[in-house]
Amino acid sequence: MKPTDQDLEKVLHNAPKPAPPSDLRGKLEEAIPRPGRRTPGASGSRPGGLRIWWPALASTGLAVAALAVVSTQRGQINALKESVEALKQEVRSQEQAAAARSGGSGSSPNGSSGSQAAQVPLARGRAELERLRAETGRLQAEVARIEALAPEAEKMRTELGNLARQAMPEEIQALDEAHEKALRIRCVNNLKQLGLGARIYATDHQDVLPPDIRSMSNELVTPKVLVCPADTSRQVAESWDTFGSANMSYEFLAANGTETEPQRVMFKCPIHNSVTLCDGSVQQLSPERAQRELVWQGGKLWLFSHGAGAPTQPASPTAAMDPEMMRRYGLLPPDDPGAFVVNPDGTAADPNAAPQPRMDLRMMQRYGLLPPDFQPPSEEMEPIEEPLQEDPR
Amino acid sequence: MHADDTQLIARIRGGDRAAATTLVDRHYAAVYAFLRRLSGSEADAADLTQRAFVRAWQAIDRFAGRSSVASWVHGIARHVWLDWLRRNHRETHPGDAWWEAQPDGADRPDARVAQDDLAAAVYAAVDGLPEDLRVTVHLHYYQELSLQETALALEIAASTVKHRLRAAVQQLRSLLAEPLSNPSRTSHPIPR
Repeated sequence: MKPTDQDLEKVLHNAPKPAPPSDLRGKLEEAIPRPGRRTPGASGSRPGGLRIWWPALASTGLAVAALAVVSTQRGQINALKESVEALKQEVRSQEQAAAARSGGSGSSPNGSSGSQAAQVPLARGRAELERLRAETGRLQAEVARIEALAPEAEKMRTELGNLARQAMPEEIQALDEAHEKALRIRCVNNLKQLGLGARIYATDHQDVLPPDIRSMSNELVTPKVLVCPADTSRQVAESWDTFGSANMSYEFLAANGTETEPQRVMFKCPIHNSVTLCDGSVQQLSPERAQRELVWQGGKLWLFSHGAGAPTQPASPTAAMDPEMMRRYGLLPPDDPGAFVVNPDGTAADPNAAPQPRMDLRMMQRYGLLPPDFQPPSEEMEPIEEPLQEDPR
Repeated sequence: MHADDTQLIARIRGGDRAAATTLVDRHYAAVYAFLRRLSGSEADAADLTQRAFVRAWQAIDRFAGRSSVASWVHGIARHVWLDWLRRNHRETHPGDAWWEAQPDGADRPDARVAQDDLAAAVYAAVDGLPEDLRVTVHLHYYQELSLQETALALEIAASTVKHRLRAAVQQLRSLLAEPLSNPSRTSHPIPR
């Protein structure tokens, strides 16, 4: 017999309590700190701020001292450089004066010292002029080199444009596939965030999933996650105040559901066929797999992967119909696309709701909504069995 | 939480040894039982209990009163046990025989044999749970701390405690499903 949760909890609550050794209490009493003598490590005997922080303070002080020494030395070096420059200038001017004297124009010693003072800025101006000329020559050479490269750059630009226009179809297809894959991954990410938000909401609301998207707005970071990146017809809501049906790509199919139905679909992307299940997991389904494994039962959409947990009774004829098709043939109310009022077995989900028009098997066969090999069970239409009920445990 | 726990803590901070003795009397048996089940050894549990209370005296000035004293003391005991576990690189469990030897305070008529079997299997299976689930089960079920007290002792959210307890019960149910249907359960100990 499998124990129930109540059995397990009862046993756990009644776990035996080992009795402490008789001398333990005495030891604990002895360890109680005496008044005025704090236990080592107690907050009262904790070292002061200086004692705690002295390693950091010491290293910081050392670093500041080193910085001061370095800056002082740098200043001294700069001063020495300036004095060396001044000495060089002085030597240079003395050499120029000596050269002027040796060239001798018969001027008096006093006149010689006056012309020497006037020649110093002149020599500096000449040197500067020479330097500027050299720089101009260098820049002209650079401009000429760039101009020579211009036709080559134009040629390369033309070749690049031709290559882009002549890209192989396979390359274009690969680019498109990569783009599509990126969109699908972002869609799966959105579905994961939606599933997580719904489960957080359920944790705070007696394990019941939210009745609608707006109710779980506190659990979602942004309304952006409600729009599939591949859905160009929907706009992201600027805020929850302006949120409406035009701002959501995904179908919310588990309003007021519970987490005891792990295979039930909570969110579905109509573009990528990806689904979030009530256990929070996200499944990417190919169109064929979605057609084969997504089954409507009891007004709920279920994922039956690889036959696990597949319904034992034949699936409802309307099982494989998507909501859009059911709405088109009157199986869904036109103004409330997310809610089913007619179960696949034909009974009204809401007993107070008026019965909605529905198609019988013959009509569905006539409109090609049933598989070609589908055989009506008998002349007299038998009621379809009750949908499979999930065991909540 | 005792109504006068706050006053008790204030008195201990003021150096009242009688108040400290009262606090020890209230909580040392529960702390010992908690550490005894986790450590698997009577001597280790007694030693760890002493360490836990020494650490409690050291931290008494930092007790802000946001949790109950029981929750605070159990949190300290859990840290002491984790330190001991890391230092010794070992993890021991009491084992089936120990659990079965514990008096449960009730008669043991034949009609309760099945219940006892279930209890022994459940306790052994709890010891096989991952550490986070196991400690949560110990605190909430064995030590009878409330969800909030368990959360404060583990320094996690109450919703996380609920999630862990649910996961623990599910794992226990799956672990027990096979052994209970097998009469030779004791020859196939639950994997740890």
